[in-house]
Order: sequence, then structure tokens, then C-alpha cells
Amino acid sequence: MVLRRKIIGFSFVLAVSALGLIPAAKMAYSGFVGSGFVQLFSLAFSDTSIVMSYWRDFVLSLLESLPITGLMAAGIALFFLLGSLKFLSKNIKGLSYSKQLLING
Amino acid sequence: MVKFMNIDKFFQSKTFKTILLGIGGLIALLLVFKTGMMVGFQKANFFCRWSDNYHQNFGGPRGGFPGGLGDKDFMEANGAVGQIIKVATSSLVIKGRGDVEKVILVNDDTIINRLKETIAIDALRVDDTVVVIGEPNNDGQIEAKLIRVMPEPSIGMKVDGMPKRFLR
Repeated sequence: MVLRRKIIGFSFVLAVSALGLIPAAKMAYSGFVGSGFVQLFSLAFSDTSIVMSYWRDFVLSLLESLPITGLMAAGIALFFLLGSLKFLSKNIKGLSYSKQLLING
Repeated sequence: MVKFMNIDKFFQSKTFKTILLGIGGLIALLLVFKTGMMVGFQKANFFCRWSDNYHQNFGGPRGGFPGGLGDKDFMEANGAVGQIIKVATSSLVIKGRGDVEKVILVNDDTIINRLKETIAIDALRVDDTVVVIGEPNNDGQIEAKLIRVMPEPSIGMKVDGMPKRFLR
């Protein structure tokens, strides 16, 4: 019974996190695009030697333009999604096995 | 069925546990960094300098903007991406994220690159899209170390992932 409740709870978490992951990923993407992070990061490939000599300013500018809120939202949604998947994959079979035992017994 | 078994094994594996821990660690790291950024912002005060010197740099309200500019407070101090709106002999004004203008100072050490060649400041044009890395000064300006002129976008296309609405 407890396991059943847990499975329902984790299924709910799975659904919410799966739904939440979409806007969170969109937020992270628009953050990367809008903040200029992509353009700044491209300097590492187009002007490698100059970027190496001014690496401190380069790293700071990258960190400043990192879309932290979007990344955090996506990370949290992904964390709960994978965590609930792990729990469900482990316990759903256990639940069906115990049901089988009840039917047979 | 075999595929399901493989997925099931993957979810119970150490690799999966490591991935979960990695994501958790990343979240913690981002939280710490976010806090550091907020505290650092208070100390660094780049926005205050920018705001205090707005009248001098751009001809805006004397004494800066009372109450700040909302979420524009968190402007990047060590880099800038945007469109040139003015070119002078030793400085540029660019319009970046949120239509915020920034003064970019150019000195003898500043490297200005367009494609594979190094150019002089007078080769820069209004409407060029540039990426700048440099250091903030006490007047709310950025002393540029590298200015990279980005390739021109096609009409209606994105510039390296940056939508056109950002540029205009």
C-alpha cells in the first residue's frame, strides 16, 4: 500500500517534471541566445590565442552572461525527472510481482 | 523487451547514479555562483558607475536613474555583444541586450578583428555587430581588449543564434 502511494507520488513528480522541463529548456535556450553567451563563447574558436592571453576577462564575461536561472530551472526539472524514473523503474516491477503473489496466493 | 531490460539496467547502474549526482552538483554550483554574482554585483558596482556617468557618456538624466533600471541592473561588465550605434576616434557606443548602450574604449593595445584580418577602429561601421571582451573602468565604460566584428546576417536570419529582434 505504501509502495503504491509512493509510485503514485513519483508518477506525479515525473509528469510535473517532464512538463516543466519544456519551458525550462526553452528558458535556458533563449537565455543563451539573448545574453550573447554563444557569441562570446565563439571567440574561443575564432580568436583562441587572444582569448588565452585575456582568459580572465573572457571567463568573467562568459560567467556574467551565463543564463543561470534558465539553467537552474532545466537542471532541477531534469534532476526530478531522472530521479523519479529511477524510482519507478525499480519499484513498478516489484509492485506487479507482489500483485502476482497476491493473486496466486 | 530486451530494450526495456537494458534501460532498466541503466537506471540502476552506477553511471546513472553518477549522472544524477553530477546534475545535483551542478545545481548546487549554479546556486552558489548565483549568490556570488548577486553579492559581487553589490560590491562591483558597475551599474552604479554606468548609471552615475550616464549623463556624461550618453546625455541622459543627471545623477543617474533614481531607483535603477529594474532587471537591467545585472549588466555584464567584462564583455558586451551588440550593434555599433556610434564610432568615435577612440571609442564606440554599442547597443546590447535590452537596448542598453555601453561605451567601449579602444586603445593601442585593443585588437579589432574582422574575419581573419586585424583592422583599425575607423574601419568599423555603424550597425556592425561586435563582440567585445575587456575590463570595466570607474566611469562605467569597458576598456576593450578584443573586439570581434561578427559576420553580417542574412535578411530575416539569425546571427550565430542571435535573433534579429535582439540586434534591432
